[in-house]
Amino acid sequence: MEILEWTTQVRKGLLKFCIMTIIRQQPRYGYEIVQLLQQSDTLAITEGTLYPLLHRLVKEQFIDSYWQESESGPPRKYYTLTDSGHIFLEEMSTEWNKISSAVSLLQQNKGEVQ
Amino acid sequence: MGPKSVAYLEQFERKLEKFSEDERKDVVQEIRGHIEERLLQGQLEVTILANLGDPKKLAKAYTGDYYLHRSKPSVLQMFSIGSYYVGSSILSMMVIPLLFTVALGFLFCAIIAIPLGVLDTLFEFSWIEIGSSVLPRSLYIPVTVLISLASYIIYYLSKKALKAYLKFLSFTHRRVTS
Repeated sequence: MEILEWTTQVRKGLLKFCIMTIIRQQPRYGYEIVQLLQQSDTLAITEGTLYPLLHRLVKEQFIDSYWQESESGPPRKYYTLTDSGHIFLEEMSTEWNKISSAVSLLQQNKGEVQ
Repeated sequence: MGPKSVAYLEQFERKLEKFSEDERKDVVQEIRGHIEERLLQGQLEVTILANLGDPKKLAKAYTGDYYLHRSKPSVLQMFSIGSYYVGSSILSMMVIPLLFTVALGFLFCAIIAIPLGVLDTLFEFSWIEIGSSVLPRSLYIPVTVLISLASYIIYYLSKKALKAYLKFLSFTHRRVTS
């Protein structure tokens, strides 16, 4: 059970980062993001988690949304990165790279950073 | 869309009362569109709704941090929220324990005063002191009844004050944060 809780915590912290990475290249709608995250089991989240989070990111002005008609069904709400979203994503990327390389270095060197 | 989805969306929308009309419509439209499109793709209604989770919880996830994210809060708003928490917690640190202790203490007095008066009248215990130097023994019971009554009134008033204070807190909390 502890590993589950730990994984949830880590994933939670990275979710914003993952979502913003997904919509950096092109606009995506909610269910698309869910599916893209589902491609890797570890990052999978439910719709019930994603939609409120997207709403929050819009509030924080990191992402923007617009409605677009769809040929196959009801209109979809697409999300894109804003300028401040791009900046924030860059910052997160840098930090994440630092963290992950420090952690793998730590693992390789059996507990010593150098 | 089946009746389950309709009920789901109704419940969801009802819990978004904090949002402005436009925002609520936008949010509900996105979820409705999601359900419709998944149904068109042949997914089961129960699965779709299960993935969205309990409608109340979903709404809560939207509104949970509502007051901080409603818009970018101005410095003044942040300041007023901050000073509210500092002020109210310092005040509460004094007011709540004081009222609580007073209420509890006087409730205790109200309960034990009369039995003590009766005991003292019957046996004149040395460890019970109801003004035996000034009062005749026959007055012990009436006096303790009065004491008990007075204690009960004090208990009642302090309990009311505590309730009123807590009400005041939640009222001002709502006012400051919404």
